[in-house]
Amino acid sequence: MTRADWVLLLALLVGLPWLYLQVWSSAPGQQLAILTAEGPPRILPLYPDQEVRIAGALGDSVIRIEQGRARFIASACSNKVCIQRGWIDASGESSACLPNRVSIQVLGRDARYDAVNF
Amino acid sequence: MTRALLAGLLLLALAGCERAPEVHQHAFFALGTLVEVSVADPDPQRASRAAEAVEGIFREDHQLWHAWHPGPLLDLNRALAAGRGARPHPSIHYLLERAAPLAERSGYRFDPAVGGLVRLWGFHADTPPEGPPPGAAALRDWREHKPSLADLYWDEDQVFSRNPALQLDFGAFAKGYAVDQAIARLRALGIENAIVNAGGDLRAIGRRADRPWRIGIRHPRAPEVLASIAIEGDESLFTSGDYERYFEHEGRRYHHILDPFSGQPATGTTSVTVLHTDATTADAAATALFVAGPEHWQEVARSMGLRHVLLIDAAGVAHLSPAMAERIHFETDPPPPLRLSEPLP
Amino acid sequence: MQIQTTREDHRIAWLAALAIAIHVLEAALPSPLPGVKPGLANVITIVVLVQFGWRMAAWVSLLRVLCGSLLLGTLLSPTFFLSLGGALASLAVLALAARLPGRGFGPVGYSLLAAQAHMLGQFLIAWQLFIPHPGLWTLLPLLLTAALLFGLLSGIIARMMLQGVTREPA
Repeated sequence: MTRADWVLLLALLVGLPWLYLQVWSSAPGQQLAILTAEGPPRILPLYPDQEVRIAGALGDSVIRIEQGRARFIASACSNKVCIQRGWIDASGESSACLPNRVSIQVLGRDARYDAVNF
Repeated sequence: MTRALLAGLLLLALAGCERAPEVHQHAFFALGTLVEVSVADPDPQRASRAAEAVEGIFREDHQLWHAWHPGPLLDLNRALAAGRGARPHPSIHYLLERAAPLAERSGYRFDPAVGGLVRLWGFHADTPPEGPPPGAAALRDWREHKPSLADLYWDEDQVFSRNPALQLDFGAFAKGYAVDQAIARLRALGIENAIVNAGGDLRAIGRRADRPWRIGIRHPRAPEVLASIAIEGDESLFTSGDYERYFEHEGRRYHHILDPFSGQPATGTTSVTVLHTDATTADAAATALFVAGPEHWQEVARSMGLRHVLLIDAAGVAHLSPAMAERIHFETDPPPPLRLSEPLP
Repeated sequence: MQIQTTREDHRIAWLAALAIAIHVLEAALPSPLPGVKPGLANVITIVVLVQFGWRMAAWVSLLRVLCGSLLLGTLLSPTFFLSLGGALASLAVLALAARLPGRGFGPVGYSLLAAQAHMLGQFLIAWQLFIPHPGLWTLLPLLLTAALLFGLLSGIIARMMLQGVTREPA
């Protein structure tokens, strides 16, 4: 084997574990939990694409699931913080509409944070 | 041979992900926020029972401390407004006892006697107000009467107010106390590793089995995590931000953290994070430091006995105590501009 | 009518036939993960690359994909595009690698590069055309690890073949 062969093999042996870390430490979530004021959370897969209408305390919230991500696209609340939050896709990420009492969270194997101070 | 190799590889990979312990998660809405309970316990049934017990506590507190729904706090506020004395509900009695020294040490920047002001701005309701802000006359009126917790006095087990404008609101304080109660209940049920997170108000005990708990702190101006802190043992992490509740009127933003002295939303700060042993103190402190602002937060932190403080000012500069700097890890690239304070005792 | 064929054409035909045979045989083997094949047909590509240069390796490789899919009845099916994408990606990488000055890569290095590029090319095509599910990315490290092992295996076989070829003078 030439020197270039050895360098390449070594680079792969170092690079692959790095790739595992990169991809698996922030693995995109597989499911979405939708929580409302009443009842247990609803669990939906993040694939295929769909739109869900959820009844909240003030009115309806509409959540769009698209290509493994999710976001609020409409909400009965007044300041629309939930819509401004945009797309969420990493495990543990969440977006909440407190006035309408609807919250969505991506479920996954290993969330980067156990809790977020918001 | 190749199949065996692959099968082995897959097994290895799967074993890698199975190792993380099961953390039981439970979430619900109470006290105007989303409460998340995480319990790491080898017994999943005990974990789920404990998490539900926590929900029970928050639901009960929600009833007790609602300042404008019928309940013991509304009764007390009516009595105080009418100049009568009243015997408060035991849990409100306890909150008042805890709040009094904290308010005093904060120079009354944290003050649960601002119920009237909160109502004036409309931040008392479940849904954020739509404005407009109160008029100059109403605010002048508030400053002239300026009730504070120091106006309360006790006669036996009855509480009286020297100031008829005094209305209690535990919005800035009740979550901390509820989180402390929840942790006490979890411990009584034999749980040693858990997080109770009531919006920006969190207390964590124990660890996550394989590692300490990892807590993210929200960026006050972007939907991302600004910094993270590892917590192990027993600590509370509280964040107060101007992004939590606000309304916009004629292009100006008015948030819910009110300065009792000016009667206006406190200026100069966008968020304050406090790390402390008990949640009740951390909760009061986060509000007081927010009101104190980038110029005066260090004095207030000293008199309240805090060591770990992070304050983000309106320009995005992160002011932090040296003890906090040792614990915190900024997650944004680049990190915000930092300004280190003198060590807090 | 008679088509003029050169010596080179014959060589390409023979080697491509060999590669196609391996390709078809491998397709008959069950696979634990979709997209994961030992890729032993790559051995031929590497041997050709070292002995006869990149142009001929490209012919052999593309003929293998085309004829292999004709024989297996997968022409223009997803499998075909995956194969083609993989072959094009590995040829592109080999073209660059063959230009490395000095002694450059040996058969093992070429094979490792080809296998990684092949897998990556297939993966991107699968992701773009068929399953744009972000969960697919979690599979990538596994697939590339498999490619590393099989690339090493093919490389060692190619090296042994080349040593055999050079030891007996024509």
